[in-house]
Amino acid sequence: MKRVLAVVFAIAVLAGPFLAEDLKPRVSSILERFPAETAAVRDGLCAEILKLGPQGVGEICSRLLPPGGGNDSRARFAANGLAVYVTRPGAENERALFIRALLASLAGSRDKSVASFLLSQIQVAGRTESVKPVARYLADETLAGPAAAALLSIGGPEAARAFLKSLDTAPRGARLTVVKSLGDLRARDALKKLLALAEGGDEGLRRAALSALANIGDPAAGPVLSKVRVAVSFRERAQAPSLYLLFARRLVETGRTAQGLDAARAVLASYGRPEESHFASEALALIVSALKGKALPDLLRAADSPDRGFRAAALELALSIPGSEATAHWVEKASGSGPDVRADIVGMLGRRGDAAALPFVRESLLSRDKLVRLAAIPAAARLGGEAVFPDIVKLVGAAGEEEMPALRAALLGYRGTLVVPECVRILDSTPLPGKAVLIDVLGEKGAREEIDRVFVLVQDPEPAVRSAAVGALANLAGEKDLPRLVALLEKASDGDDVLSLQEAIVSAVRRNPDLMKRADALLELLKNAPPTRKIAILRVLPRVGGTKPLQAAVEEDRSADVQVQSVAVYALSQWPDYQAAAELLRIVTTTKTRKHLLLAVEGYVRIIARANLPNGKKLALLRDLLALPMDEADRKPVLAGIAAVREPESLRLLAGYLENPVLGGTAAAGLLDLASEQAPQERWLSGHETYTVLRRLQTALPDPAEKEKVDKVILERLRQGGFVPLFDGRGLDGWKGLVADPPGRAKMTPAELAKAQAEADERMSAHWRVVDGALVFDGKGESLCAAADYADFELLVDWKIEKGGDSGIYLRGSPQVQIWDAAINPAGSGGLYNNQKGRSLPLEKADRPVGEWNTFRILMIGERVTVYLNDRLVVDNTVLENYWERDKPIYPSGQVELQAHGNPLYFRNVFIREIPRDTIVPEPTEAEAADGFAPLFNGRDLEGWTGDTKGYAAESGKIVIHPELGSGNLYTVREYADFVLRFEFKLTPAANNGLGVRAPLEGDAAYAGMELQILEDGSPVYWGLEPYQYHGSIYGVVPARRGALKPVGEWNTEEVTVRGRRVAVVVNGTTVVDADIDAGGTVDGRDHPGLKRESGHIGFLGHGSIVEFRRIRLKEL
Amino acid sequence: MSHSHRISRRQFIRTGAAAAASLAIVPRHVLGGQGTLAPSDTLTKAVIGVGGMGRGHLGYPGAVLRAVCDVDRGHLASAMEIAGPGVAGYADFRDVLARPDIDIIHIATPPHWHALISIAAAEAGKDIWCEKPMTRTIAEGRAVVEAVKRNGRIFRVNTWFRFEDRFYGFGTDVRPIKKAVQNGLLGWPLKATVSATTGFDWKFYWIGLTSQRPEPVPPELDYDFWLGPAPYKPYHPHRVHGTFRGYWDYDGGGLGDMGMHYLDPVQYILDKDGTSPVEVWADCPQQHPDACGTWRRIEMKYADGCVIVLDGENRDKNAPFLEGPKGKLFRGFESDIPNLRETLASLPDPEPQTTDFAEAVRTRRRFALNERNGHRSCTLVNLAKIAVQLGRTLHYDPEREIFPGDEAANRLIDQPMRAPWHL
Repeated sequence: MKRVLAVVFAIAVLAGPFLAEDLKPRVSSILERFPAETAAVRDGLCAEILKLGPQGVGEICSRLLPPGGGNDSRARFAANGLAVYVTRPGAENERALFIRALLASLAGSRDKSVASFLLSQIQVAGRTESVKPVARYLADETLAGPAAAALLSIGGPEAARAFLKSLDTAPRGARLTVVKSLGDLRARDALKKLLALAEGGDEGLRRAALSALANIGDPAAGPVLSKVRVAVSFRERAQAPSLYLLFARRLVETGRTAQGLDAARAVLASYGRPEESHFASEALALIVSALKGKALPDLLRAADSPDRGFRAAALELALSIPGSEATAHWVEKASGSGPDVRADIVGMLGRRGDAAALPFVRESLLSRDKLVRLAAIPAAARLGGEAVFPDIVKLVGAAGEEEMPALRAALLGYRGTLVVPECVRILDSTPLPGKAVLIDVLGEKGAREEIDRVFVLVQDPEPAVRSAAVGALANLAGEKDLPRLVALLEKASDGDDVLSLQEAIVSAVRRNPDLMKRADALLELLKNAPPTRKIAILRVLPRVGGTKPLQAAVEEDRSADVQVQSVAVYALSQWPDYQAAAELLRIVTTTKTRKHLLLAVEGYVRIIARANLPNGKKLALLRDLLALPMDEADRKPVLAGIAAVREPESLRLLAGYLENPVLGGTAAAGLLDLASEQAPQERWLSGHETYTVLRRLQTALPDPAEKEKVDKVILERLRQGGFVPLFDGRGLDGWKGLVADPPGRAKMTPAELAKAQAEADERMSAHWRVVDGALVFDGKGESLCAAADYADFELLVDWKIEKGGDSGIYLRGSPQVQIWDAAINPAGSGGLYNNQKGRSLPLEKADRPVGEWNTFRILMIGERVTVYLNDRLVVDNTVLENYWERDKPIYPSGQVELQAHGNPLYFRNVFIREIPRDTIVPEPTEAEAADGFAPLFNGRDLEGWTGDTKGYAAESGKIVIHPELGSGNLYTVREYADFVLRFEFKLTPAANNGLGVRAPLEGDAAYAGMELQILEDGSPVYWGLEPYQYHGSIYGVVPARRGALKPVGEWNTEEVTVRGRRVAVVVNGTTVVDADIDAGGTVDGRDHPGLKRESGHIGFLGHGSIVEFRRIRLKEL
Repeated sequence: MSHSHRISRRQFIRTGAAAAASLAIVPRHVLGGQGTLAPSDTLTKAVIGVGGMGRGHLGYPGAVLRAVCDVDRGHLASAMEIAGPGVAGYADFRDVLARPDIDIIHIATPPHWHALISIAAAEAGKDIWCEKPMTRTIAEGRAVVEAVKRNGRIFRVNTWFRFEDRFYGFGTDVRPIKKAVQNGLLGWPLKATVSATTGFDWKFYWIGLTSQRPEPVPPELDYDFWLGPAPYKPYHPHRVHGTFRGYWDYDGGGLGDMGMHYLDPVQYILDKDGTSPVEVWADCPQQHPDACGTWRRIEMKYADGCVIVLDGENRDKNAPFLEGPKGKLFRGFESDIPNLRETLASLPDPEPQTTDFAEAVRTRRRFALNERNGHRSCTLVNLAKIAVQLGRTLHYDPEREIFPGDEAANRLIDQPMRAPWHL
C-alpha cells in the first residue's frame, strides 16, 4: 500500500506541469461536493484531492479567502476534512504530503487571517517536522497566538526549544504567548530567562513568568515565588499562594517530595484565617497526596479547626485513607470533640464505609445533640443496613420536624416487606410529625392492603395527617376504590387535595391492565350521577383518555345542565390525542356559546400540533379550520398553531394575514417565530419567498426598533442561504468608482489602473452617499461599482427613482438590466436593454410607481440572465449580449455596477450569492459500483436513450436540454420495474421538467405512467402551486415536502426508490416522499391509470426549460 | 483589558450605557481592605456573565446577590437595573473574586470561560454554581475537578434532571427509573436511547455561519476579553450573544447546549458517575472547522456493554428509553414488565441526594451533581463533539482520559488557550 502511494505521489509531482491546466477545474469539481454528507464521502473526496498531489492541496488552500472576501466555506471544509482525514492511523505518507503542502501555502500566504486558518489546520495534523516553519510566526504579533497553539498541540522538546529561541526576539504581545507556552510545556531550559523576567518591570510579563515558573516547578524558582506574597501588584499578591502551591505540587510530582512538603507546610502555617482557609485546604490536600496514610495526624489536627470549610476539606481528604486503624483514630477524635466536629466526623464515617465505625455511629443516633443525630441517621443506615432498621424506626416517634426528611429517606431505603409491617404496627401510637412520614412511606412502598386504614386517616381532624393520607392514596388506590375516591373528590375544596385525588383516580384507572376496560368502572360512576359528581369526573377524563371516556364526554356535552355541558367541552378541549379532533370540530361549527367555541378551537389546534401527522396534513386541517365562520379574533390560536408547523406553507398562509387589521399582529409574530434567528437552518427559510414575506412584514411594522429586528432576521437567513451583503447600510466599504469600460481597463497596466482607480474613488465619494441606510446618488458623476468581480451569481437589490429617472444594473461590467420611469416607458423596467439579437424588453411591466421602492432579483448563470422585478418574472433565462465587443460573448466575470444616468438614484438591501461553476464530470464511485449501481448515461452520447434526441444532448458529461431545438421526452430504451435511481440535476430559474417512471413511450407520462416532478418550486412565479406539484411529488398523486432543493444554479442530488407499490424520493439527503401509491388515491381528482403499471421506461419529461442532468445511475432491485 | 473598574449603578444610570466608556476607573485600594463579612446564616453571591442565562441566575434563591459582572456594558447595565440597589457591577471577574464578602460565584458566561473562572473562583475560596456544559473540553473538566477538590469547594452544574424536575416524557422524576435499574429489573447491560420518542427532543441545533464578513465591534463590548482563552477571530455579531453556541471555539452546538441536560440523568441511571464510554461513534454531515453543524446519530458504548444512543433524527420510532435483557422502559413510564409500578414500590429506594445547594454550601456537603460526576457527564458531551468533528469511531480510555493512539482526537481533549490564559 505504502509503495503504491509513493508511486502515485511521484507521478503527481512529475506530472505537475502537465496537470496544471487540468488542476483548477478538477479541484473545482471536487470542492463542489463539499461539505460531505457523511464521513465516508468526506474520506472519498479527500482521497481524490490527495491523488492530485501537493498541487491539489495547494490549489484548495489558494481558494481560502480572508473573512468578508467571499464565501470560501467549501475550501475550509475541504482543508479541515483533509487535516482530519490524514490523521487517521496508518496514513503517515498522506499526512506528510498534506502538511508539506500546507506549509508551502502558509509560506506564500499574504493574508494573516488565511495564515491563521492554515496554522489552525497544522494544529490538527502537524508533527515535529512542522515545528521549525511554524515557529517563525512567533515573531509576528498577530500570528503568534495560532502559531503557539499549533506548537503546543504538537508538543515535545522541539516545540519547547522553539519557544525558548524566540523569547528574546518576539515582540511584546507575542512574548506573553511564548512565556505562557514555556510554562505549559514545562520547559526547564527556560528557567534562567524566566527568572529574569519574573523580576522585571512589566507586570503582565512578570505574572506570566511567575506562573510559568510555578508550572515548571524547579526548586531554583522557590525564592522568587515565595517572595510574591509581598509583591507590588494586588493581583500578584492574590495569586501568590495558589502559584506557590502549584510550584509545590510540581515539586512533589517530580520526586522532590521533601521540598514540596516544606512549601505546603509553610502555606498551611500562614493561612489560618477563615477567608483564606482554602489555601490551607489546598496545602493539606498536597500533604495527603504526598504522604498518604502517614498524613493522618495532619488530618486529625485539621478536624479540630473551628473553620467549617477547612474541617470539611480535611474530612473529605480522610475518605482517601482507608483502614480500621484510621477508623479507630477518627472515633476517638469524635468522642472527644464537641457536637459540631462530632457531627461532621460521623457523616464522614458514613461515607467512608468502614463497618468498624458502626457501633459508634449507632450510638450517635441517640446523641442529645440534634446535629449529631442528623448526621448519624444516613451514616448508620449506610453502614448498618437492615441491622440498624429497628434503631431508625424507634427514632420516628421521638424525632422532630427537622429529622423527618432524613428518617423518611432512610426508611425508603429498606425493602417494603421490612418497612410496611413496622409502619403499620406503630402508626396509631406515633404522634406527628412522625405519623405523617409513616403514612407517606406506606404510600411510597405501595402497601395496597393497608388502603382502608389510609381512607380512615383521610377523615382525620389533623390537617397534616389528612394531607399525607390523601397524597398516599395516589400510590395505593385501585379500581375498586373509585367510588370512595370520587366521593372524596366531589367534596374536596382544598386545591392540593383536589390534585392529589385526581391523581389517585387516574392511577387507579391505569391499574387495570386491560386497555379496553380500563375506564369502565369510572364511567359507571358517571351514569345517573348528580351534576356535582359528573363535573368532578369529567375534569379527570382527559387525563384518563381512551375511546369510551371520549364518548362519555361527548354525551355530557349534550347535557341539559349548563355547567356540566361547559365542563364537558372543557374536557374535550383538553383531550390528549387526535381522537377528539372530530368532536372539537363539531363544537366549533355548531356551538352558539363563544366560550365553548374558543375552547374547542384552542383544543383542536393543540391536538393537531401534538398529533402524529405529516406537516402537510396538519396545515391542511388548520387551513380548513380557518375557512369556518367565526369571529376574526377567535382565529388567533389557529394562526399561532400554523406558525408552530415549520413548513414553507405556513409562511405563505401567515403572510396572507399580514394586512388583516385584527390578525396582522398574530401573523407577524408567527412569521418572526418561524424565521427567527434561533430557528433551525432550513433551505426554504433562506429562499426568496421568505425574503419577500419578511420585507413585507418589515414594511408593515411601525416601530423602527422592530424593523431593525426583522433586518437582523433577514440578514441571518440570507447568510444561511449563501448571500453576503454588498452594502452594509453604513458606508461605501466594498464599493469603488468607475474606471473606463472593460476593454479599456484591460489595456491598462496595473500601475495605470491603480492610479485611475484612486482618482475614480475620489470622484465617487463626492456624489454617492449613505442616507438612512440607503445608497444615494446626487445625479452628477459616474456609476458605482462593487469592489470585486463576480462570475455566476444571484443579486438582490432594491431601487428607487424619481420622476423621469433612468438607471440600470450592469452585470459583469456590461449594460444592463434596465431601470427607468415606467410612466414614460410603458414596457417597464428589468429588460436587457442593449440586447440586439435576443429579447431586450421585459416580459411584463412590474414597476411600482415612481418614488416607491422596487426589488430586483437577478440571476446570472453562464451567459444567461433571469430577472424578477417585484417578484414578477420579467427576463426568462435570456442570453446577455456583449455591448462593448459585439462579436464576443459576454465576459466570464466582471463587476456589478449601479449605473449613473444624470438623475438622483436610491439603492438599498444589496445582497449577492455567488454560484459555483461546475466544470468537470465527477466520476462514479467504486463503492456504488460494488453496491450494484450501473451508469444509465455514459457521459458521451445518448446511447441507451430514445425519444427526443434532438432537444436533449450529451455535453461534457451532462445531459442538457436545448428548448429551442425541441422539448419533448427522453426515455431509456429499456424498461425497469423496481429500482433505485440516483442522479444529479441543476435547475435554471423557474425551470420545469419531470422524471417519468414506469412510463410507456406514448401518452402523458404523468397519467399513463408516473411523473416525479422536477421543478424550481422556489421561484416566485410558482407561488400558487398545489403541494402535489412541488419538486419530488408524484404528480397529482402524492405531495412532496418542499424546501430540500438547493439554490438555483447549484447541483442537487436525488435518489428515487421504486419497489412494488412503494415510492421514495430523497432530495439532497432529505426524504420528500415516502409513500404507498395505493394508499391515498389521487389528490388532483384525476384518473392515473399509470399507477397500476409494474414496469416501464424511465424518462425526462421536457417542459421547455433548461435543465441539466448528470451522474445518472441505477440499481435494479 | 485587566483594569479593575467597578461601576457604580447610580453612575451607570446617570450616564447611560453608551457613555460608560468614560466612567472613572476606581483604583483597587479605594475598595480594598476587608469587605463586610456576611452574617453566618446569609449566603451571598455574584453572577458572572449576565446576558442570556445569567439573567435567570440573578433570581435563583438561596443567596443574596451582591455583584454582577459582564464584559458587555449593555448587559451589565440592564442586569444592574434588574438587580436594584446594593449590587455592584464589574467588567473583570477577577475583581469579583477578590471581594471577600461573596460566598458563591455563579458562572453563566459562554462555556469557553467556564473552566478558567471555576478554577480561579476555587482558588479564591468561592463555591461555584456553573452553567452547563460544565467545560468546553475534557482537559478543562479535569482541571476543574482538581481545583475544586484541592481547595475544598462546593460545586454544582446548573442542570436538574438527575435529582428533581420531571424527567422529560416520563411524568416522574428520575428516582423510580434509577430504582428499577439498580434493583436489576431490566437486567444488564442496558441501552439508553435519547430521542424525541423517548422524551428528549434534540431540537436545539445552534448552527454556526460558515462565511462571515467581519463587522466593527460594538463599543459596549470588550470583545478581546469576551474571547479570552479562545483563538482570535474577527468579530461578527453571530459569534457572540445568543448565537455563540454555533461555534466550536466557544461551545458545541445543540450538544453543548442540551447535552448535559439529557445525558447527566442517563449517566446517573446507568451508574456511570465514575467512568466514561470506551467507544464513541457519530453519523453526521462533515463539520466545518469553525461553525458547528447538525448530526444524525451518536452512539457511546461503555466497557461493560452499556450503550447510550443519541438519536438526533428520532429514527427509532419504537425505541424504548431503556432496554435491558429482562425488560424495557418506554416514554410515559410504559414497560413490558408486568406490574412494574407495584414491584418497584416495595423495593429499596436509591440513596438520597443532596439537592439544596445553599444547604450543601452551609454544611460543606457535596452537591448531588458536583464537579466529579458533572465532569463525567460533560465528558459524554465532549466525546460526542469530538466524534462529530472527526467523523470516525473513537476509542477512549476512561481511566487515563485519553484516546490511545489517536493523536488528532487527543488534541481536541486539551486545546491550547490564548495567552495569558491557561489551565
